[in-house]
Amino acid sequence: MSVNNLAAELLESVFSYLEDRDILRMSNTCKQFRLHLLPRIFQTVIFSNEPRIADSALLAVRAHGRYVKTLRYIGYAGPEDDIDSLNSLSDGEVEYGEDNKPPRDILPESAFELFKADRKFLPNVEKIVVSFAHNFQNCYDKDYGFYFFDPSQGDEWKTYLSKLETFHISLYSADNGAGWKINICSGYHQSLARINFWNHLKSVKTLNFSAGTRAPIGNTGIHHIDLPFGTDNMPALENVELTNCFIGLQLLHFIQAHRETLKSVALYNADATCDGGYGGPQTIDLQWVEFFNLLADTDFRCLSSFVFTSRAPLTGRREQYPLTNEIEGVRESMRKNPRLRLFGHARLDEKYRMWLQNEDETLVCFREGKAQEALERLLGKLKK
Amino acid sequence: MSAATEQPKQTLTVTTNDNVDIVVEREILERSVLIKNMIGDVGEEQIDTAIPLPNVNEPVMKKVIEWCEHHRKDPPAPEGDDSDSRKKSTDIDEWDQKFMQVDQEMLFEIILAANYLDIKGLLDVGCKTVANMIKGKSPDEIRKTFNIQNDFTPEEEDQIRRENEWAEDR
Repeated sequence: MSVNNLAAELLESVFSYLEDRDILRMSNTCKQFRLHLLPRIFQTVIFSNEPRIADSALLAVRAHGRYVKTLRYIGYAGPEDDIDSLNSLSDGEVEYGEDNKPPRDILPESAFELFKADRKFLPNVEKIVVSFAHNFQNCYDKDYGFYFFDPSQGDEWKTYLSKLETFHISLYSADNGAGWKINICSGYHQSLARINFWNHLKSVKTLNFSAGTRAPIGNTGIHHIDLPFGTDNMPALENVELTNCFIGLQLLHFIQAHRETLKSVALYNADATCDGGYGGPQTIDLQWVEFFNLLADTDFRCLSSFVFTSRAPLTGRREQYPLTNEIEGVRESMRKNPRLRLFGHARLDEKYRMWLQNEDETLVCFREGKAQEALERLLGKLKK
Repeated sequence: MSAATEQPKQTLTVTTNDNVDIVVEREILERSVLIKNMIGDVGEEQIDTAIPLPNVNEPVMKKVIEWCEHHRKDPPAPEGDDSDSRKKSTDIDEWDQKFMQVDQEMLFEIILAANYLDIKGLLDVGCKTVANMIKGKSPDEIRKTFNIQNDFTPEEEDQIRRENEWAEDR
């Protein structure tokens, strides 16, 4: 009796206790275990623009593509890279090679091959994740952020994009170490504006867009950051999930534009823009009440799920905070009635562009109860 | 001593595949879902008949009983909540660690028996023990530990090295 004689299900229980690193080593011991572990090892293939990694990922996909459910791309670029010649999925995290030089080939040949590989080698892929690692310090000096692959670059890429059904994009956020957030950097705005490949994503049904926690998108203040999608040239979306965003007319119009196809909308860490503090006067185009009411009045054909969470932490941490008692009261009401929600209010501060909560506004909104009513009205209109 | 504990404890007999009869307290034996269900199926009146265990030999059964005795008061294992949780803890309590200090032959026999007899707690401890023997080791060290034959050709090894590279520094 030895480990080689264990039935597959028992091996599976043993392996369920192992982390990826150990799984990989175990799979290198003999053919039996290699075969057994292939589905787990290649379930998610992560590759970057570093040629060594992209080469290996390409080899892996050619050999074991049928096990791949998620393909994840992480783009890196060094500070020396010439922006105009990049035209690629990339950004600023410096991953120096052995020669202490940043990788020059932002999208190596093998990465192109991977995109070309698409359905032939990846028949079961369910999810493509594109990540942009980021080193703000470098982009801050040069006033540029990260750069997206320009779809006009290649037919392979276009073909690849046109077949995706789920598109998940998350932006990494950072600050320069002294508190300046990435969204003060004009490159960040330009980069977002360059996410212009929606019209190549003809088949996408599920869009999952996650902005960084330090750089929420869609607010309406002076230094607003537009949502990188509008109403035109978008695929027929069925499921939309946005993380770290402000509500506003832009967002409303985007959702309304998809009223024929949307089945679910989820807004995580969503806030309404509000005035006050260092943020300076903000242009506030929409509050929670109107946002919910306008959605409730929209004739959605098949919307059956609407989820939102606010950051609204209600810390009441400031000393002498006059509303501390009220906060306790709010918590108590929410415990008693789990349907009650907090509707966050926030702004980006002028200097550092920090995402600042305005708890007073959030409390006022809770107290008035109109947003809650409007939300209930919206939820009441969802299709069963 | 309360009245309840003074009552004679109900015992059952199991016959292992090397034809040894072992008498065990019913409560201990019922840690095995298989045996518990068997008793349920045959009914209380048939209970004095020896239960045959064609897949377990005496030394292994004795170990299993030892474990069940120590864990007789454990709450029943929660159902079906571990299917999805990767990165499960491999912590094993001290008594179980000592209990599992057996040769590999016995270790795997215990795992097989725990699986056959459907004793989830023991199966988990067994699998964790094997996982801990793998953790942190190089492929070569794993092979030595379990006496695994390296049946890859040098070409295959090279291919594996190259197709693993993307995953190496995750």
